[in-house]
Amino acid sequence: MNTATATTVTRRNRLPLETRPQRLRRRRRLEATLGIAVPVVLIGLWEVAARLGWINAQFFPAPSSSVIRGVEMIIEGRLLADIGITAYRVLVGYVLGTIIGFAAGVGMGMSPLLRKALEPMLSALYTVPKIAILPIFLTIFGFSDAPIIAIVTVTVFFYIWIYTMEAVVAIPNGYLDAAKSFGVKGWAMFRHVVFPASLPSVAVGLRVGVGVALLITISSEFIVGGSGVGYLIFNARALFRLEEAYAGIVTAALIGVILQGTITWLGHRVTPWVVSRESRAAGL
Amino acid sequence: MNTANHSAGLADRPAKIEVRDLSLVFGVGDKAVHALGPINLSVGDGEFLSIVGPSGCGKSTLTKVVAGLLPPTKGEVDIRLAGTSIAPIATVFQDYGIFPWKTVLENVKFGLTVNGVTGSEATDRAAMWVQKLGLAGFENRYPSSLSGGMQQRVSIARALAVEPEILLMDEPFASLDAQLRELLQEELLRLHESDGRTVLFVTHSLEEALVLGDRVLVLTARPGTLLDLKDVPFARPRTSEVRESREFNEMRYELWSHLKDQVHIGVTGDAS
Repeated sequence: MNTATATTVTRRNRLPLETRPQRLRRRRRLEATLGIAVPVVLIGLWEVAARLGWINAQFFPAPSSSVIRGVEMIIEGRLLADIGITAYRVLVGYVLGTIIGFAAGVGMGMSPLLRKALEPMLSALYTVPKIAILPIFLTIFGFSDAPIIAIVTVTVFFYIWIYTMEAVVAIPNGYLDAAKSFGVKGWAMFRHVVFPASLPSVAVGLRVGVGVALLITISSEFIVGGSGVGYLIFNARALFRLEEAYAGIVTAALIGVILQGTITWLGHRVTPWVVSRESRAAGL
Repeated sequence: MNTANHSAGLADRPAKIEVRDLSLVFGVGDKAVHALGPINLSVGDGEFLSIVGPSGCGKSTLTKVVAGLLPPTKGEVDIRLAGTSIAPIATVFQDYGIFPWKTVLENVKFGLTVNGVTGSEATDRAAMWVQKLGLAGFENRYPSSLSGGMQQRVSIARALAVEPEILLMDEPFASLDAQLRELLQEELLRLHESDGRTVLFVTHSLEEALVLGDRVLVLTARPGTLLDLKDVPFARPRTSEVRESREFNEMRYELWSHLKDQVHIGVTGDAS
């Protein structure tokens, strides 16, 4: 049985796709088409299923009816007003949280004493689900924008604080030594070394933070009520108008996409030295 | 500078750096590591001193003390400065020397900017050193897009742009390939011979130490103390061809035979 058979393994030249432009173009077109076609087909299926009664249209109204309701809401002026209010709450809280979080992160990153004094307390508070403190803020500020902005600020603060502090602590000594050897300290050290060295990591924190800021705003609007995209979704449920809820959900998603996209773009703009993996592979 | 007397006249030169009973201990109690010393040393004005020794012998520590990055545990280091340069001491490191977030030109400008030279004067000076180190055309590139050799040129340009009285180099060519290292050694020889500034050059290569240095300081295994301090007899201007001569190889062999035992001590000492 055990007859050994000698074989020759040949590594044949198989042209990589990149060297065959026509094949490559066809492949790229297919990929792009699939990316759009899959969700379109699924939404189409939903539409047909809702219209033919295969699924309960009260829970899953036909996408077209949600779109129509959304357009109506824009014409009524309600939707844009709610978008404006939600965006305002997200952005004010986000900016405040970022400023305070960055200052705390840099301060604690650069000063071991400050870190020893504040880190245990902040780390303990970090584990508190932020939405849990909304009732406190509601009591303090009453039913207005203020408690929502406050809770977004607190949430974003923790993200930016931790990303900044860890980035500052992780700055390789070599960079600090290189600057120190030229007599650099204090503000110049911050400006030329600490700030730019921590920026890529802070940009990640900002990107994560903006998503969480929107999440917290929408969920707070469920509770606080009165206005905002979150309230719109929640209220539609109460009135059993789920087309409105779906229109609200899509709106919330769009706000998220726009915010994330903007922050990501800004992040790349302020850290031009961070070369992406793809462009490095392309030999740049 | 009279090149014929370059190495012969070392003893007559005024000392630029005077190391007296220098010791460095990291940590305290049981965890204390005696890294360096006691060591006494005098480095002449305009001298190129190569420093070699087994890994962990404190070669880098010595340059960090001179750079003011580490305070001595015991003893003192006197540095006599004429006060003529923008920054009196500049360092070229092996890694993490140049800032990835600054372009080539911004990196070279760095030492100028932070020492009060700004505007077009800083740009002109930086541009000159960019030119001198063969980096023209790369001014606006970020270091990550440059080869290791180019990055180290940026580091050298940045150090020289402040026209320091003392240049400290801590294994600057260690992560480069052999051909590139020889090329940069040649460039460094030219630069040193034209400006005659005091250089402390840490390396783990005896060959490099001999090609570049006026003297070679050999340190013992940790804690690093003076094992050998040899005048390098090769006349300047020197090229790296000097390494082909018999004298060169005899000298390298002699230094290696001294160093070999120390390397052994360093290795077994660490393992126990």
